[in-house]
Amino acid sequence: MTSTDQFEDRLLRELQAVVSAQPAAAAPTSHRLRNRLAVGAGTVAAATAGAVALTAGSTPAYAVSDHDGTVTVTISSLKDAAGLQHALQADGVQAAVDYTPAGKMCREPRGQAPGGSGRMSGSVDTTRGGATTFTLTPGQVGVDETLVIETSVGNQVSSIGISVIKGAVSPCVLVTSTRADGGGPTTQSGSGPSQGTSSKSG
Amino acid sequence: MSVDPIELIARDPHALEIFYRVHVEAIQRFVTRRVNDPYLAADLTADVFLAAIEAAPRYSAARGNPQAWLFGIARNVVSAERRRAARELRAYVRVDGQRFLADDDIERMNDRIDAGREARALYSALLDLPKGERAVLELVVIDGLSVTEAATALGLRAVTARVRLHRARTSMSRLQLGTPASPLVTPLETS
Repeated sequence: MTSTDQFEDRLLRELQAVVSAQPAAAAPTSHRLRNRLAVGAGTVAAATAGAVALTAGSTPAYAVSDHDGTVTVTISSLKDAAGLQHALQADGVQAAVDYTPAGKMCREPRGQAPGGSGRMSGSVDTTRGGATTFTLTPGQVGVDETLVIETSVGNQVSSIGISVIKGAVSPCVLVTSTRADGGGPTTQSGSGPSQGTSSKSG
Repeated sequence: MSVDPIELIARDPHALEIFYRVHVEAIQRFVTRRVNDPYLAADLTADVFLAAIEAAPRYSAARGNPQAWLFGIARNVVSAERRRAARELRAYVRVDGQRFLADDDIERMNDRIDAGREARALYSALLDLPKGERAVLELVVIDGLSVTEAATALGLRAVTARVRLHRARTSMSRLQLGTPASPLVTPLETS
């Protein structure tokens, strides 16, 4: 960001990056971009299984379905992170799922990103009902890799970050979300990182 | 057969830039006539253009006025955000618009938010209307579209839009919200 630059210019560049399907120049959290699910190519073959998990209430919080190794994940509410994590693992996808409270995020980085070769893109869509859905083709999460799903809840808005970590994934250490704190005068909390852990992969 | 420039925005960064520069201010005004948080306004602005990029391949020039088309998209985006907020269902992925906001951008967004105060009050009042009736009236009285443009934005026939507008005005007076004397209330933007 330069000082002559405005919000509109920065947003334009990001949108152009989406259109040209290339990484934006300054996109530290580009893995959070809609339609650009960064996943590592690997060689795991997911088991053929179907698992739809229901939580209390009329709408399932999430659904995991498997068609010939292609795993479709639908998240309709940010509840039961542990349940989703287990459902993915039951389907052969090593996963770490953390839904953080408002204003908090997991401290980054959670681990090592997969190596340079074999990166590929999937897509993340939003359904009419507001659910998030994405698909993992066989091998998108490698044998020694973990699918990391975490929320980042800012000032009234939130996003789901989906990424792949190679090797060990550190537990989610809650820190104050930086998303809504972009140097603006309306920053609500200036407190330092607070500690806390939620579920970790395992 | 020539390709409409709007269709190109989904794949051509240059076409996107032209389209974006023409409409970005109008969209920020559109958004700040509905929300009063600069960060949320930034995110919604990003969402509107993303949704437009996604919808562009299905754009038909026959639908006319690109701004009306974009306003229709913007209305859906803001409504979706409102529904999500109401249900506390916030599970979705988006471009993180607010992370591009610097201090002076927030100041400019707050200026728009100030300018939109009257419109936001009206927008809140319209939320009491039945859903089908609200859309047309909203675009006409909040955003200053003509009935024809509102019809374009909502994918309705003009005559249908006109009927709904009439019904909405009737509902408004029933709800004692005050009836706009003409489809176009005085311009809401003063600056």
